[in-house]
Amino acid sequence: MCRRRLALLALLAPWGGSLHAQEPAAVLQRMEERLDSMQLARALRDSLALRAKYSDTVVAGGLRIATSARLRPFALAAGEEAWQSLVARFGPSVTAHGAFPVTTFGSTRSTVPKLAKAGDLARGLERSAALWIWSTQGAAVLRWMGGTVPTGTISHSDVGDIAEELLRTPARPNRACYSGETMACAAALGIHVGADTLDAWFEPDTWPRLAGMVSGELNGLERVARERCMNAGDLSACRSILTPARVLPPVGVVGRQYLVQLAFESGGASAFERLAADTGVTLEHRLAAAAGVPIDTLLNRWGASLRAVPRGPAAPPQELLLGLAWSGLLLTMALRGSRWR
Amino acid sequence: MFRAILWSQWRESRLAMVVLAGMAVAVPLLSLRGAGAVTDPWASWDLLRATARWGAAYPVLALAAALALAAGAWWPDHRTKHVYALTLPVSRVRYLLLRYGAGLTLLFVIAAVLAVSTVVATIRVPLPTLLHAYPGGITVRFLLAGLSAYTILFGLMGLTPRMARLVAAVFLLVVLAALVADLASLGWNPLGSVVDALLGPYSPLAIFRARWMLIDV
Repeated sequence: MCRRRLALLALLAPWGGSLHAQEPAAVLQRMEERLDSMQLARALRDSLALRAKYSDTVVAGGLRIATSARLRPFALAAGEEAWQSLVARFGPSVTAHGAFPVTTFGSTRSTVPKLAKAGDLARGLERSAALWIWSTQGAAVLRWMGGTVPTGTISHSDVGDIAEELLRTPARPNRACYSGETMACAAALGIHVGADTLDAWFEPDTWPRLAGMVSGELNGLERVARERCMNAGDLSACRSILTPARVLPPVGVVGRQYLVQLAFESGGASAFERLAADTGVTLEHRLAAAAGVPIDTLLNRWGASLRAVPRGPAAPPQELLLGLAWSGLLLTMALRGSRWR
Repeated sequence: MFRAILWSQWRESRLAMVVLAGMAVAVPLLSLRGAGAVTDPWASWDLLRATARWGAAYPVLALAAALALAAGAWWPDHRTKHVYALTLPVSRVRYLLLRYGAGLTLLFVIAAVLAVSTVVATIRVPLPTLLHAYPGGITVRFLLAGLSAYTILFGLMGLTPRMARLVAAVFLLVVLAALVADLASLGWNPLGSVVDALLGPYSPLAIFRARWMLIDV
């Protein structure tokens, strides 16, 4: 037993001595220096790998795309298409707030599929550039749109879905909004809501079910509160769960994006510039500035276009005619078939 | 003669007819089963969600009816190797029209059952303001979808064995081309293109992609 202890002490002696001799601060500093040099080495390695991967940079308007020489023509065509679309959407001063970050596309080994369309890449480039523009110049509006950048034009059928959402969600302002009350629409869209968002949006008797819809991570206390809200109807527990970030909005992201789309359509080429010009004013003022009309007019247009979409499964005449025409044609083909001839 | 052919069609597809008519009764009634009182703030939510969930049942029903009736229209002739049809003193076109008309009549019967069922289902449910019931619209859409699918399937089932083999070969070729295109990373899917063409906005089956909402805004 005594021999074993002696052997262990002899083994630890060199380390023990050196560690004791060093100050903890000096050890930490040396370790930090070593870590820094390792990180530098990694950055250099990544940079070299990136240079090996992307040998060319395409510049299309304000867009810069790091790519390979082989992919250059394809990336250039897509970049130019994306840039034109961005200028049309955000106005000519789209790069006023600095250069776009470099986008990467493919590598030296990549090839363009024979039937690949530059338009697909253009849409991807446009989407990432649009996200950058919104996050740098219209962050508050982007947050209001749930962090989702509007892509493309919202279709007729999507507008119909917004109308359905407006009548489906049991929020206080929704039905009044659908009936044409502008201020109700402002509340439903989260533009003009009082300090108590939950109470402005929903009647207390809907809160327990709304709490059941809350998704995402809840801690232990919040889970208990949700149970109390749903099972016992404890309104204070409901309030603690149904924060503005968690509660179901009366109108979702697409409805809000549609309002921005209408503002841009109304405002013309410089609509985004006006939206981004003054970040100190409220959301409704920024939207009104973008649209070039008072917010009431913009909200009226939004509500009117929702009411104008025909709903229900009633077949429109062209659908009826199309169905009958196809049936007639196919029947004629079937009658002229080769059987029994 | 039409009555005789209609009778033979009925005999061939009566089991399917009864099942489909039963489904035509059940689907609208079941879709609105859980509707609450109008005073319930969640009434619209529940109604529209249930209607959307059950909406897929209507085109499936139309397709099933078309398939059963098209098969029923040709099966007696296929079984007897077309001897009966060839012995009849009527032109081929007239005979086929009679067969087609018999199937179509039965499709109308299922649509009529659906119309009655949707009307009954929507009458029983108190609707929140600003929501509307569309029993007529959904029946017309069912009829159109059934008509398009029935006509296509009637034509396909009437093909000669040689033509049927040709159609099957073309289909296999498209599947093969899709596989090759995928392996070669061509970025093009012929099978997807065919499906898009069949379900595109101006195609005969476009109606299957429409909204099938018994209760809507």
